[in-house]
Parts: sequence; structure tokens; C-alpha cells
Amino acid sequence: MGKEIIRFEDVTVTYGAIQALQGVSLSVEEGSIVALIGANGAGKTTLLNALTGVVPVKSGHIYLRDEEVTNLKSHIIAQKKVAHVPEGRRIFAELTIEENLRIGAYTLYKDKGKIEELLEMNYQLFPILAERRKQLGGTLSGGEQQMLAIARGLMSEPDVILLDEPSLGIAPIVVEKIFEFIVHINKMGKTIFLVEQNANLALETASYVYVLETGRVVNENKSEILLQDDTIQKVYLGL
Amino acid sequence: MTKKKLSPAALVLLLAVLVVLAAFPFIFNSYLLQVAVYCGIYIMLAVSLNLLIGYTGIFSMGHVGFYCVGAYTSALLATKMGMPFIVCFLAGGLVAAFFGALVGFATLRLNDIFIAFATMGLGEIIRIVIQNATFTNGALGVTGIPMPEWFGRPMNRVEFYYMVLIIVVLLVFFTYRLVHSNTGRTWMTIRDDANAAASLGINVFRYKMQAMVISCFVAGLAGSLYATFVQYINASNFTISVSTNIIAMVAIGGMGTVSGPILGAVILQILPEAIRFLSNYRQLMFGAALVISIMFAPKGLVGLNWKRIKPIAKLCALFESKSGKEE
Repeated sequence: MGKEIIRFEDVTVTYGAIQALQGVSLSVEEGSIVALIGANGAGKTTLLNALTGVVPVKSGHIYLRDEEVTNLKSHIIAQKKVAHVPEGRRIFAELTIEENLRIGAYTLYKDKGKIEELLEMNYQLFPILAERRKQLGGTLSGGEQQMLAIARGLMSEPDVILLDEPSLGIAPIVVEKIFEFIVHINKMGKTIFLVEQNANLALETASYVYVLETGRVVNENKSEILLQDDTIQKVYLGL
Repeated sequence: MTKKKLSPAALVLLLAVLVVLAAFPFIFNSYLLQVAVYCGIYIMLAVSLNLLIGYTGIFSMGHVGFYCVGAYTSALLATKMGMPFIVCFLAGGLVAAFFGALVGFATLRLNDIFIAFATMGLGEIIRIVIQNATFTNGALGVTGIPMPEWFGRPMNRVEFYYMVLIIVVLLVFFTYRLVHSNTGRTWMTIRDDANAAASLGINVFRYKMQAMVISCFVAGLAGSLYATFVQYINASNFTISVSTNIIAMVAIGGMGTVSGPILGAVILQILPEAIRFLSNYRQLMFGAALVISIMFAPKGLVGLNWKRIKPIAKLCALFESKSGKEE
């Protein structure tokens, strides 16, 4: 077993009087796929945003490879080999696909050769993006935009990729394809921390799963074990 | 990065425009020359504001403030300290950029409508301070601002026109290069989605600040040219209506394009002069023109689908078939 790459210790986040995260502790092992499942409003996106400095952490600590990153600015965390693929994809609609990818390599901007290499790698991984490299990001379909968002994340050569709801608003057949990519990317040696509402998919893809309910981790285990769990089956899988 | 080479047809067109502009003083009278100089100054203002509104997504309503700071800096240096024009000109830009940095530091963490209010207020504050301070001669304004000297004599208006022309051409060239550079692309990502940009490692505040400083520097230069050309300024030249006028130029021409604000500035400068014969109805017609362009060209004149008109489509094809190869 590898070592922990992300660790949350008793993290609390509040929006005004509302507690979005109430003392969450969890960890992600290097090289694994870890998923976080939960209903709408459970605090899943907030948890990722807390890690990447988009929302302020009220109390508790967040560590990246034993280095504390609690409440650092987003652009500084992005330099620590973490790529955040945000919910709703957030493609730059008015830039071309290639420009979107190049912006993804922003943290490497001095290394021109490396950027070309990464571009080539991503085009091989996602041939559809290579075909449309001159097209504007906004003209892609939802699934293609999701691929572009993931590819944009890969352009910074991250060790960890944070995926926020990659299945959101995408046709089921394309979702399957995207999850195949996610497994493939994991095999390339990237740690993946996946936030997903679709519990079925998350349990199938990840090796370890946390269940979040109203800001608290209520269950966690290896996915094989959670798949057999009664409450999980009832509440999240509808079996 | 994709670099498009200009096609021969486009080059010819560009040269033709430059030749007409260069021959301008020989064809037209001095009144039109004055209109042309104002056009140049407003092109500078619109192009610089477009860097904020169109490329970085900072809706600044206080652009006039920096124009005003540039004009006063230049005018006071020239009249009170007898500095040569080049010093006044650059100082106008630098002091405006400094004020831009101050205002930026205070407001750039705000979003959308709030930044519009804040910059609008600060623009007005600058004007009111200048109107009441003693070192700016208060409401009397600054008089007797000298024309730039060269070859031991003051420049005449035709020479001034050429100077403005050269400055504007350089500025447009510089802007074109800037918005097609990595910096320009970074600005556009911030405009499209600041959070996503930050999550890619972009220091949003720093880039917004950079856009603000560059934009205010250019506005200050424009102010210096204005003060020198009209030779008399007072605070009432720099009311909020100048800001809205510049915003209208950017919006009507086309935000986030290089050519849009140039077109907008020229049209909005010339239109009021062209419809002067309507005397009392002039403002009414001007307003109607604005409303019509907003209704039918929401993306600005540059954003219209000109190719729907057949001869224009043919002309465009002529330009594109040759430029398409180079990439």
C-alpha cells in the first residue's frame, strides 16, 4: 500500500450560519481511485473546493503529501501537482480546444517542449479533441467538454486529479466512456479523487469509498464491502 | 500558437487605409482635422477600456478618472514646471497607471456590478478632488498648455495629427500582439470563468491588476494628448458621461475584439458631428442610433454576420482563401 497523498483532519466549512462540512476526516492513498458519494447538498463539492482553496476552511487541517495546504490560495495549490476538474466542466467557451489545453499547462509555461509533449499525449488519449483542436470550446457537446476538462487537468502534469461529478448532465453511454478514461488515467499512475452522485458508477470504479451526508462522513470502506452494505444498497443503489 | 499571416489583399487594404489617413490633412480642412485628432484620442480610450471590459471582464465605469489624471499630470507639468512634452506625455501615462494600481488594489477583488459601482464612484472622486484642489487651479482649470516643441518651434496642428496617428497605429499593433499572447489568453480565461482559471494555477488578482495598469497607462497617455491639443482643460471635461461614452464605443463596435473599439470610437466621434445639421434633434437621433445598434447588433458591429450580404461574402472569401494556408 502506498502512502497518503491527501488528508483531511476534522475539516469544517461554513457558509454564513450553515455548516456545509462538519468535521470531516478522510484520506486518499497515492495511486488509488477514491470516491466520495452522497446526495445533493451533502457537501461533496464543498469538500473539493476547500482542498483547492476556492472556499475558506473554518477549522481543521488539510494536508497534501504531509504539507499543510489549509486555506492557501487556489493558484498556489494548483502549482502543487493537483488538478481540479470542476463541476459543470467550466470550459473556456470563447477559446479554442487547443487554447483551453494550453491554458491547462499554465503552471509549466516556461517549458515549451514539455507542453507540446503533453498536448500530443492528450490528443492521443482523446482523438476527438485532436480532430477539433481549432473549434471553440463552447461548441462541444457535454461529453466532449468533460473530456476536454479532464484533458485540461492532465496538461499540468498532476499527481492527483480531483474530479467533480464527471457524469453530470452527460448521456449514459458517454458516461461509461468517460469512466473508462478515468480508470485508464489511474493506470498511468495518477491518483484520482472522484466526487460522484452516481453511487453505482463510483462504487464500481473506485477502490475505496467515503459516504458523505449533510457534511459528515457517515460510512467508509472498500467498495466491495460497501456494495454489500444494506443501507448503501437501499439509499444509494435503489436495490 | 497560431499565427495568421495577412493575405496580400488584406495588406493592400491596410496600406490603403494608412495612405488615406496620412493624406488626410491635405484633403480636409482644419475642422475635420480636429475631429480626426479627437477620434484618435477616443480610439486610445476605447481600445484601453476594451482590455478591461472585453478581455479581462472588469466592468470599469471609471475610465474617465484615469484619462483625467493623465490630462492634469501632463498639463501641470507643462505649465507649472515647463517640462518638455515627451516628459509630460509619459508622466501622464505613468501617474494614471499608478492611480489605476491604487484603484485596482481597492476594487479588483469585487465582481461584476460591484466593480462597476466602485470604479464609477472613484472616477467621480478623482474629478471632484481636482475641481476643488488648489494645485489644480480648482474650477478655473489649467490654461495655456503649450504645444509640443520640436526643431526649436511649437508643433502645428497638422504635425500633431501625425503624431497622434503614429501613436494610435503603434497602440493598435501593440494591443493586437498583446491579446494574442499568453497574457491575452490568460485574461480571456479570467473573463470566461475566474474560478476555473484560479484552479489552473492562474493568479487572477495579479493578471487583473496587470490589465488595469496597462489600460490606465494608455488612458493617461490619451489624457495627455487631449490636454496638449485643446490647450485648456478643466474638471468639467471629465464627467461620468465621458466614461459612458467610451463604454458605448466599446459595446457598439464589439467587445473583446481588436477592431471593434476602433470602429466604435470613430463612429461615435463622427456621428454627432455628421448629424449636427439636425440641431435640436441631434441628441434624439444619437440616442436612437444607440438603441438600434444595441437591439440589432448585441455583439457589436464587428460581431454582425456581414457575410449574409453577398458582395461582402465574396470579398471575405478573397481574403480568407489566401490567409487560411498559413497556420
